[in-house]
Amino acid sequence: MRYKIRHTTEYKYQELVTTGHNRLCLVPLNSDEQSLLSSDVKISPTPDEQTYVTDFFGNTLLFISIYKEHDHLTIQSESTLDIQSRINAERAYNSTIVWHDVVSQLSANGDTYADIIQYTLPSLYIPSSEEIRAFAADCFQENTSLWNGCQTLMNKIFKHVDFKAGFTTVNTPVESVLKLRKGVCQDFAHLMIACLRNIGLPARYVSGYLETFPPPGKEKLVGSDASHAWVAVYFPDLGWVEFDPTNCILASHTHLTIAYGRDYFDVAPIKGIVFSSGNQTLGVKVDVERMAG
Amino acid sequence: MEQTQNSLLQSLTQGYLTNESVLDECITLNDGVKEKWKRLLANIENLGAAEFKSRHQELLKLLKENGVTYNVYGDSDGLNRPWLLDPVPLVISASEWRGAERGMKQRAFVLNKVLGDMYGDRVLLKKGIIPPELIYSHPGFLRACDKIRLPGDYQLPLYAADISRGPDGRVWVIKDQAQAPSGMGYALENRGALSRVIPELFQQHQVARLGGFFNSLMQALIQLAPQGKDHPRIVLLTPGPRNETYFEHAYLASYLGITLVQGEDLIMRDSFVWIKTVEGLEKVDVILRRVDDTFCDPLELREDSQLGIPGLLQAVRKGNVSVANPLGSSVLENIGLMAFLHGAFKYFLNEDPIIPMIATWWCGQKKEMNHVIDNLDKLVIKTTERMSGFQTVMGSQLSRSEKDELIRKIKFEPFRYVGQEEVHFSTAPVFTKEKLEPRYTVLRTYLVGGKDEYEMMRGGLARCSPEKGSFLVSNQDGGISKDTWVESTVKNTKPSVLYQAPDMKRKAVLPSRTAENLFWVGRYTQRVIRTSRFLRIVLRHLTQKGYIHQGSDSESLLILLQTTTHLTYSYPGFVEEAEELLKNPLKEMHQLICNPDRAGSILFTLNNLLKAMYAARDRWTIDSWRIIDEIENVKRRIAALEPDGIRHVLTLLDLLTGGLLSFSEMTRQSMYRSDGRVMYRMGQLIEEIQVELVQYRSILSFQHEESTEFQLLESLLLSNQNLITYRSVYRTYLSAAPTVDLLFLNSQNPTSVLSQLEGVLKYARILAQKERGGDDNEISRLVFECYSSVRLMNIDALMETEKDSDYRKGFDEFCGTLQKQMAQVYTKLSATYFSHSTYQQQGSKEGFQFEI
Repeated sequence: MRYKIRHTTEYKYQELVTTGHNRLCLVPLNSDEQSLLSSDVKISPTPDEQTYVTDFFGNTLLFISIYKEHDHLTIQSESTLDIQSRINAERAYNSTIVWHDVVSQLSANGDTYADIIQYTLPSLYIPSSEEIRAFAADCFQENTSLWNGCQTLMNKIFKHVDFKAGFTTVNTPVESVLKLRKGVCQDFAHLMIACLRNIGLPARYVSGYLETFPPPGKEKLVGSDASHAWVAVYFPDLGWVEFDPTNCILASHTHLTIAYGRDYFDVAPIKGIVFSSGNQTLGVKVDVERMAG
Repeated sequence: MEQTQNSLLQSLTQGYLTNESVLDECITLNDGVKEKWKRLLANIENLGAAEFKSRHQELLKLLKENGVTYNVYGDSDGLNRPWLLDPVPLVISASEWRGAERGMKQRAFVLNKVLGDMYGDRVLLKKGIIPPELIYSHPGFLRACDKIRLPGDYQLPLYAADISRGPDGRVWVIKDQAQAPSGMGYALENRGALSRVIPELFQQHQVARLGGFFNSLMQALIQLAPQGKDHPRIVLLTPGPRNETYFEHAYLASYLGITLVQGEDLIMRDSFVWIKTVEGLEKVDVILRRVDDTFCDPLELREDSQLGIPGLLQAVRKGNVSVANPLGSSVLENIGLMAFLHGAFKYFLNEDPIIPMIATWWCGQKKEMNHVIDNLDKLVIKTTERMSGFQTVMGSQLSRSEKDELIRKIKFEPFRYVGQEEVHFSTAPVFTKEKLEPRYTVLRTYLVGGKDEYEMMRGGLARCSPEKGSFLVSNQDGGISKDTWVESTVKNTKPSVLYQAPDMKRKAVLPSRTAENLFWVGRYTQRVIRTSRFLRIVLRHLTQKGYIHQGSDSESLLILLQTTTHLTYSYPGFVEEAEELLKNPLKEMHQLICNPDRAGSILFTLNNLLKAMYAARDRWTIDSWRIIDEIENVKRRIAALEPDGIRHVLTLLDLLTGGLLSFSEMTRQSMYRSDGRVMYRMGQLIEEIQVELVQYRSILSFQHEESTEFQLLESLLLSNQNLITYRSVYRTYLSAAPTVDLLFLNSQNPTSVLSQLEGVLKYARILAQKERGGDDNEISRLVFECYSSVRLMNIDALMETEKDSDYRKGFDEFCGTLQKQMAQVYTKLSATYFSHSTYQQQGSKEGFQFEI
């Protein structure tokens, strides 16, 4: 399946910004499951400096700096992707490994799983928490398979939390999401990751896009798609298997991956520092378009 | 003779050893004083106990005068807790030292390799030598710094460790300091002070000098310069005056001859780091940092940091600037590493550590966790990270329920906790209450990457517990420091500890922030001096003549009182509906002098002045510091004055202005011809003009009845120290027009508005020249405008009153315009040279919403 993605972000500054530095995580990943055919990031005003960096996790970051006064910043990222089918998800379906064994396998073989182990640990947005642990407990019984446990947990989160924008921000702790029972895809993802890590399972955050479909009989609106977030769980011998708790589905060819990280902090699409004291407004538009052929 | 000496020694050490299980550095229970300490104790005996005590006081006084402080967080005395130095040094024999040196060099070598590996291939994790969880769970492991390398072999250019002797007599490593080792400046200052105040102690000793180490440090920093640049610009990055060791940052910067900067002094641009100076941007090559690594770049590390340089990591990644120690080196301060470093010694050297580490169990491993829980009573429990908010505890001191709570915490997040064997350090003698007392002692040692191998400072910073029997030796807890003497086998040839700063072949720069501080030191100095003088004169009137409600005295006094309100901006004060205040004006005067919380009061301004002085402390000489210390003393005395003790204030105000005048003179001399002096003088002159204009406007804008006018003019001229000049120049009865001539136009009068404007103009042109090479810029043109309008002022016309009124409208407005123009000069100056940059995170301040 081939997709064309257009992701436009616009900041408007009330007061002139004299210098701005931004770290963009907008270039989709090139991996076994998806090939990046093209990527182009257009920025206005034209940055004085642009540097591509491969980060610790293997994602492509773009650092941009603007040294002239500006009152807006528009970032338009356009990319085309070919998605192969998600083989790991199919294989995981048949996996019988018990979640307990995964935990002990990892801790017994720290050297083999050196890189995987970091995804079992707390990170900025993923705390160790009794409440979270308690919430996850009944999904992972003594002999539950990792696969079944993840499915049950995803279902539980999907039922427990309503998808509602405007109740949470990046700084809403994941425990509060559990209490509020409302949130957006980042909250769903963080909650599921937190549940898994709190019982010792390796889980990471996936930043990307989701192809959406208009209601039957209606035209798809321009800009109606969105950036999305979901969860990848590590299955020993298999690799990472991706779950989308916001929609309670496995990630499929409609899930287009930008980057992997421990949580939102590692892969936030745009992070920056601006030299100015004024307020700013933000507008985002995303189009995910399926291409013929 | 022999007898008395013995008895003195006996009295010094009487009851010294009480605990047989504790090892003392100086005295053993069976054999008495150890050989290497005998000469030192003999030197103390020769001085005599009383003299030694008084020298100790002198020592502490000198340190205080030199401004040696250690800031304590949350202390009300806040910015200046004095540094405590024991007069008895820690003596270490040459052979003992050789062993420690060999061990520390070995350890530095290994830690350097470990650090390189953590941000390189992470072989140690892949081979299971260090558990990956231990590293990945530690906030000091900065993923953003992965694969960054400093040029050359040293990833850990500077390294410090606390070492101590255990009960078995062996030296142990207690703690590693890897990211920004502190204390070496204090060690240097300790030696300097001790050798100056009690030189007798050094007799018949050959104490190794410290200076060489700092030469090596400087060389190491130069070696770090990108592309092997010959004369790199090196800066010391400090979090600022509120940091606990700010004194040391300023001290080291001036000792090494490098520029002291805060984050806001630096910017990243074009993938380089620049320092913002009065003359524009200057490239920075090497940053010696004392800011914690996560605070150094808000773009990629802690987003809420205001102490760093946004974008720094990009410049580092491109190899355009080197940071020492590199960002991410705090990963080595993970206490859990102590449990696994043996493996690293084996891996990199195939050797065992020469200096053992305290036995450590990391709870991230099941067996080890169980051991810690089962042996809680014998262990000290810590977290792997320093900033976790967890207080290190001794298991034996916990109650049953506290233990249960701790065990619960450990089991909940085992990887965060370590258990360490409780080690009893050795003690060393500390002089207290005319006696020596054994105190637990820890020595911080310093190493720097040299030409072929690490070099170690031959000495260090010894710290002792503040109380007998206490194990706390940190400075935050009020510990006492000691000079550390390593016996040298070679004869010292050089006369003193001082060394020559390496020729940097770089002109000194004045960071914008320092420029601003110097400017404000200038302004506040003059504000305090001029306001004090004026208040003093008003006080004289009030106290000498009493306060009479009638007659000319009362009229002139009222105007003088109102002028004090204008001068201190303490409205309404005496200006509006002041009946209540006027019943007892001394009460308000007391407030205007002694209340530090009253905006505009002398103490309020003085506190601002001291803050500005402190913020630019690397700019002051030792002599200036002595004066600042004296000023602090006067400040405390003024603050302690009760309202009825107001008459004492006259003497204190004299002391204060006297101190400030000598400070001012000292500064003018020591900053001769530097950019710093330009800013300082600009501040002084602009403030003088503003203070004068306030006074003149308040006193001269109305014509008064003759005797009142006489009183007023006399007071004004007295306060401006112009009365004698007036009499010698004009030889007339005091009257308004000649007074205005003297105060505004007389070029023989150094404090006339015209003379001062001439000064401002001169400095404005110096600044303009530096900028573009031309004489003029917006600021100098603005000053010139003021200058011309004063030069061309028509005094007779200005002194005329309005019809049927005693209001001199022309004069009032003339002064008002001038005040506004001067304020504008300041605004422009600030915008041009004191570049303020506030930055914020992209997204709104509350933390923007997720995009869906």
